[in-house]
Amino acid sequence: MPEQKHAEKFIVPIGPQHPALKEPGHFEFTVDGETVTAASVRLGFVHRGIEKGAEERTYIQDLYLLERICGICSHVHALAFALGVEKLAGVVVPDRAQAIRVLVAEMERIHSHLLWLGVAAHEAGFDTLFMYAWRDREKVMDLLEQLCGNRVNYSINVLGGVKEDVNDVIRDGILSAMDYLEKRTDLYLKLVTTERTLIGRTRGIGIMEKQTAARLGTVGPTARASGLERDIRLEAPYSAYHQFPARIVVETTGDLEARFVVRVKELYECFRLIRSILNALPAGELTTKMPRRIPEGETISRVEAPRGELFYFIKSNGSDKPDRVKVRTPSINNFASVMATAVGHKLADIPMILSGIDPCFSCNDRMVTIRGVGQPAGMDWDSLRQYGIEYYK
Amino acid sequence: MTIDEKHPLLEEVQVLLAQLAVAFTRPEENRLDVIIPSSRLVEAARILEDTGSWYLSAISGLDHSSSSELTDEAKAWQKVAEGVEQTGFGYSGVLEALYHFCLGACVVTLRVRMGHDHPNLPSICGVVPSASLYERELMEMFGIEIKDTPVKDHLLLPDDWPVGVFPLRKDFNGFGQSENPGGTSA
Repeated sequence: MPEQKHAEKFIVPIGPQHPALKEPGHFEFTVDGETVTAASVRLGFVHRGIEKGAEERTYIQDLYLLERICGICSHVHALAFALGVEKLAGVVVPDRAQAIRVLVAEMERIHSHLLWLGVAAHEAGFDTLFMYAWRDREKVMDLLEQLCGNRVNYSINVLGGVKEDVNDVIRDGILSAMDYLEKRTDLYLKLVTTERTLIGRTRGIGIMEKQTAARLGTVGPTARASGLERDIRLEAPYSAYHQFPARIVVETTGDLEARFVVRVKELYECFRLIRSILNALPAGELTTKMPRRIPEGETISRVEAPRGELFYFIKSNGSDKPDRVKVRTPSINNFASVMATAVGHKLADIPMILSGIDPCFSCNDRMVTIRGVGQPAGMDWDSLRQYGIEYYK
Repeated sequence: MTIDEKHPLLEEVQVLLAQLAVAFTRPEENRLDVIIPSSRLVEAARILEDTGSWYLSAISGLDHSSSSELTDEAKAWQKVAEGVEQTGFGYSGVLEALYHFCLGACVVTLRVRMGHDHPNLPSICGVVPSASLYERELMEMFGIEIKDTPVKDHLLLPDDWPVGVFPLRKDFNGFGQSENPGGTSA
């Protein structure tokens, strides 16, 4: 028998193109047979220079610019920026406005988590759950449109408050939708913990230990699924989370199933918060006067986006334009965890591990399998997804 | 809005980093800024990482120059950055990297300043592996050289982005406005 030669190294690049879902990103997975041995990430395919653009616009213009960083969690971007600028200006925002901000933030969390549930179910080949989740998500989208005027980029924040008030019709509409969604969430919780085909793709897969999660700076539901109690709403309450405290949802197993369970259970927490806000909405003004020029200073504004801690660093210089706005989105922290947990897993698990962090990256549709150097063979994200589903049949 | 509570965590960090820092400031109640020479950055990051509770939340770059005023003070800052000497804390003509470590509501920021001429930093990836993405961002956006960082490829900018053009520096005003669009200040 001739001696086995050194194993050939395969690099499987995924992405970046295909804007069917969310954003593009490019990943390279080095595989040894079926097992991933290394992973790297390349972002920036939708880099729009927003941080630079923010320096050349006024604070008011920036509010709208920054809200458009993400089409899914747009409200938290505007919220983080508004809170930071208000802190720099020394302005106190009325309680009613803060409560409405939290109300919208929690409704946004529901829509984001349901969106994710659908995407993740789709990657697992469970398209019924995908359709269910997205149908129910429409309820929240409609309510957000009723309240804010927009389905996405709600634009309810202004510097110093909010634009829209909650009237009785909207209040009743939201409350009855919460009852409906709570029942549906019972079903989802049952599905993600008992449906065998789904569990086959999630239980014991993509495990991240608590220490690893902590070391990698993981945030949001991804961290909480590994038993890490990180939630800015509790750790550093902002806006109206003092009056309406959130409760943390933690799972300890750290696998994909835990990430499903944490997000589904967080939906209950959203319903509870929304109800308590609507039942005790503080009376008062919606806005307060805001100076156009913001005094010189630096501040850090952190909020809990659906995907985890969103970090804003804002430096003002006394003019009506910021000197620097640094935005660190939660996905950046969580990408590092994908790169780490992917190693040692099967290529077939990659779609699920990637979607498990709820990344702001796209359903990548162009993938090339390179064998050694220069023998590309076509394979796209759909094929990889299909490959994963077939593998587990 | 203000939270009237002491932050003993920040005081602990102040004690831990007392030997390494040039100065401490408390810009906000929940924040501690630590001005530190770049030569001691890795050690400071290791101390925070070794506590097991502080995590690196972000690294921000800052360019303190406006496009008209440059580099005189920068040289002085280069020396501070190298730990050679201390000066007052003037701002203009200086690049700064801010390493934000978070724990609960508290944020500790390690601030390293350097001049525009050959700005460089040591990599903290040996201590905090997740810093890699932020270091790549610092390199391409601010032109700060980080010699020992594991991956030096572009993270956000296109592959064909011109060499020596750093978009988040203040002297970058976009392309097509002058013959030397956004290039480094010659």
